[in-house]
Amino acid sequence: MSGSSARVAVVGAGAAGLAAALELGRAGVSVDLYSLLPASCSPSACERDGLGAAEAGDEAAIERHFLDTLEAGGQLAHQPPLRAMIEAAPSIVDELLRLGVPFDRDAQGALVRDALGGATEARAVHAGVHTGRQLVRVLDAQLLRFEEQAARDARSEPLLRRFEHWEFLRLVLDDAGRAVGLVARERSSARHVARPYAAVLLATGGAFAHFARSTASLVSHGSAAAAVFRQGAIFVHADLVEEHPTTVLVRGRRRVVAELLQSRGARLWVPRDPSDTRAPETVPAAERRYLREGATAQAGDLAGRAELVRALRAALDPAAPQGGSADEDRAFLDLGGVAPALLEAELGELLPAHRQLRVGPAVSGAMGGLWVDYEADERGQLVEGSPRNQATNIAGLYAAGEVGFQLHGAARLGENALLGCLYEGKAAARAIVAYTRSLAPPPDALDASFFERRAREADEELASQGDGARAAFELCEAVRRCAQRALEADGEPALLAACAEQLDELDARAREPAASDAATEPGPAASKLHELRAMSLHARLFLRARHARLAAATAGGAASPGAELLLARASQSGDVELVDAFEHVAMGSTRRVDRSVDRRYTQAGAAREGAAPEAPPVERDR
Amino acid sequence: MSGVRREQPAPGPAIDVASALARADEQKWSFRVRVRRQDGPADTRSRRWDEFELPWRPGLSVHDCLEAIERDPRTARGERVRAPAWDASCVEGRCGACTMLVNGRPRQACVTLVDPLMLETNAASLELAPLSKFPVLRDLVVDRSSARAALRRVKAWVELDREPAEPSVTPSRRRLALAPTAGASSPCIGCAACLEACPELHAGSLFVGAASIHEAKLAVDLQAGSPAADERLDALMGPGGVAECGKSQNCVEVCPASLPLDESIASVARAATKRLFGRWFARR
Ligand SMILES: Cc1cc2nc3c(=O)[nH]c(=O)nc-3n(C[C@H](O)[C@H](O)[C@H](O)COP(=O)(O)OP(=O)(O)OC[C@H]3O[C@@H](n4cnc5c(N)ncnc54)[C@H](O)[C@@H]3O)c2cc1C
Ligand code: SF4
Ligand code: FES
Repeated sequence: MSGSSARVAVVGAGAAGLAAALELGRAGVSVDLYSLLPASCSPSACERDGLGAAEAGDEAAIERHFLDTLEAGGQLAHQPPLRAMIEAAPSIVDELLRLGVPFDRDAQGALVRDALGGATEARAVHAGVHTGRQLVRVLDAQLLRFEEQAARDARSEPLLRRFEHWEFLRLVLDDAGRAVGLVARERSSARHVARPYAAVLLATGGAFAHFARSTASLVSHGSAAAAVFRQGAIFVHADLVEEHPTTVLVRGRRRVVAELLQSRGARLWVPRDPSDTRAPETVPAAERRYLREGATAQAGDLAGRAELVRALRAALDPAAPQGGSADEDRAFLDLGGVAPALLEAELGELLPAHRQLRVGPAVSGAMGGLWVDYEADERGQLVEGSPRNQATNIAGLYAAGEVGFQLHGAARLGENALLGCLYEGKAAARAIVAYTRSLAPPPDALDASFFERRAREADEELASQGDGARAAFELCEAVRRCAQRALEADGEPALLAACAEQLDELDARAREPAASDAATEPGPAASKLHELRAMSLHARLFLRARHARLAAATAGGAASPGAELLLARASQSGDVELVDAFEHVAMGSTRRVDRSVDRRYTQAGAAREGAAPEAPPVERDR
Repeated sequence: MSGVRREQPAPGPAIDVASALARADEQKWSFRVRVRRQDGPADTRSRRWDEFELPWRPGLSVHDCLEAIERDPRTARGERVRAPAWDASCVEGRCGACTMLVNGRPRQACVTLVDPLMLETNAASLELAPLSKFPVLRDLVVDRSSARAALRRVKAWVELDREPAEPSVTPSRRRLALAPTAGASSPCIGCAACLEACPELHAGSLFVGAASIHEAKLAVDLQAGSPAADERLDALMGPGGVAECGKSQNCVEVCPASLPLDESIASVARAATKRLFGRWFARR
């Protein structure tokens, strides 16, 4: 193995990773694509919501999409990249159409557009309740071609190599702290390798499996994000999660019910009397309180998703065991008005004969994530193709998709989830092409033995950690219950503190190998431990950030402008520490990044119209 | 249907499942799960069966069984073993990761319930094995990348660089999705159950299988009349193509997405024949 490489590693084969690999391949850059499971099994492939996009060229609609997103996210999104995503949306949808995604059409052949929660107009296109699946299918098909095509730089190697059933363990950093490769574990053999790469892109999805009431897939533990956090990557808004108002409990697990149903006739309601425990079909309409999200809400409905989730949470039965029983859900989706074909596709055998589906809220995504950079001009216009876009604070490490934070703010519109992943994947690919060009001539190659040593270190760690799977399971559950309690302890500092204490203790136990379960053989159990450590780190990050936000709110009322982002990093001792600013070296120049949100786009717009800027002027430091 | 051959009988505890299920509330009882083991890729010498005993609960899925075993990997004889490895991601029947042979038939472990299976066989036991037509990586985990190789052979993708510049929605595309609920049905989830179940797919056969023919058909429909579509038809007419289908219909039976795989194969066969004739007449 040579010590330097022109290849790029993409970790994660969801919407973001696939979009990035496709864009890199088109640019002739050779890619190694790592994932725990094949792309067809990624959370993106299971995504039900569609993609929001204005009609091409409709400036007013683009503006509304932009404003809706800002509003939904509590004005916490960085505007330049958000604006770029919104403007790119029509062409992204167009490309997917051409690649063969069968978006729903009406009898005239026009695309059907739906208004999902938080949208002021109908603009989201769907391929039924299988948008994610269709999108992953067509992107994956495009990548098939690269597997045969030889890479431009190394004729003998294909443009794309897949490493499925491989787990990213950590980055290989050089003396200057730059990412020059990665350490990965082949799950079937527990073999470790360290490979050199010109750049590494993390597209490993959101980390939200650390909540008891969540719809997380088994790959949403965030082990990759946790690893790079420990290596110095900055994390933003660890306390913000996405909660889906309508999830059902199926055999002990929460699953999302597509928002699309509500746009196509389903109505959400709770009994007017919270103590009403009658069977839903026997509750007369007058005793139901109908709830609806967004501007399409009718009289008596609720406006925002956060408000909706709070109302639903209040309707939960406090006596029922947390997360473990459907009986605690006291909200219902009235499905009487939905087309049977759609119901069959979405619910199948879950559909009750009386068409009143018991639902409740659950964590369905991470809002916070790795800090990423971008380059923008004074008017808040993103500089497309800049090597700074999507770059983390570790040189050579990029992030795209739900693993990062920048586009959505405090909450995400359902219609922007997949869109954001596709946009960021493409943007990261372009940035990486520019970054790798800037490396020419390539820096001094580290010799192969340097990488070999990194792999053997991983072997040794694994051998010393033991098995401990059983203990890991119990700890996992304890961590999830603890984080869930902290999430629901809205504004109760004492409860939060108690959770923090319990979590510290759990975390300490997670770090020590279980003595009782003496090592049998490394393998799946080792990965389980690895995942547990990641979940417990994410839970700690969550608690620290939550605590800080509460403290700030009680001290100074609303969050003070200019200091809105919650930045966290790993301290010397490996603990979580919140910081007010950090030094970021990007492409040779050092800047100070603070906690402010970039609102240059609307400010420039206000200035254009001669009006005074609405929000106080903040942050010019990016 | 093809599947794993049982190497030893698996009687399980002597119990009348139907009456046990009927009296479930009053009585605690357990059942056995036999799991095919293999320690690593190509490590065929380590192949063996492990048998575990689990307490019965209503509504258990095969995935739940494996999780229970993972928590306390002790065989029915009380021997501590390495926990069996299996794939899972969504745990709601949407991703196909957990496809394995359950009692010899390809199924998704996370949505396959234990009770009906035991009623079917009237045995308080289950048998779990990896898909048999793919290389085993470990225990129940297989490498399904050969399914992707089949997709490559039939060029199951749309070639954007080979379509004429045009407005985004062409009439042919419009036709394709005219039905208002066109997107409501699931596309292929890539679970490979159809390949596992197909009698024409065995060592030495070139057959690409139902899933790739279906995918290629979608690409052909989308680019109908273009040279790219014709190339695909040519690939589908060649060795390993539609002609190898023995019409067993097994694929249709096992496909969790209920795709009309037989119709896709028939429609490709028709298009291929038409193209063959077209070429033949053109030559004259
Ligand atoms: C059932 C379900 C419902 C959802 N519903 C909604 C919704 O209603 N609204 C909404 O906004 N969002 C929803 N989401 C979230 C949405 O799907 C995600 O925002 C989006 O798909 C994330 O895409 P991604 O490309 O960032 O990563 P993902 O699609 O999450 O893919 C992650 C990839 O990284 C790989 N990976 C992870 N860790 C490692 C590692 N250590 N080593 C190697 N590979 C690794 C995985 O194998 C996978 O390929 C839902 C998700 C699920 C599962
Ligand atoms: S066609 Fe059906 S059975 Fe075959 S891989 Fe696709 S979803 Fe699975
Ligand atoms: S885990 Fe996704 S289908 Fe079973």
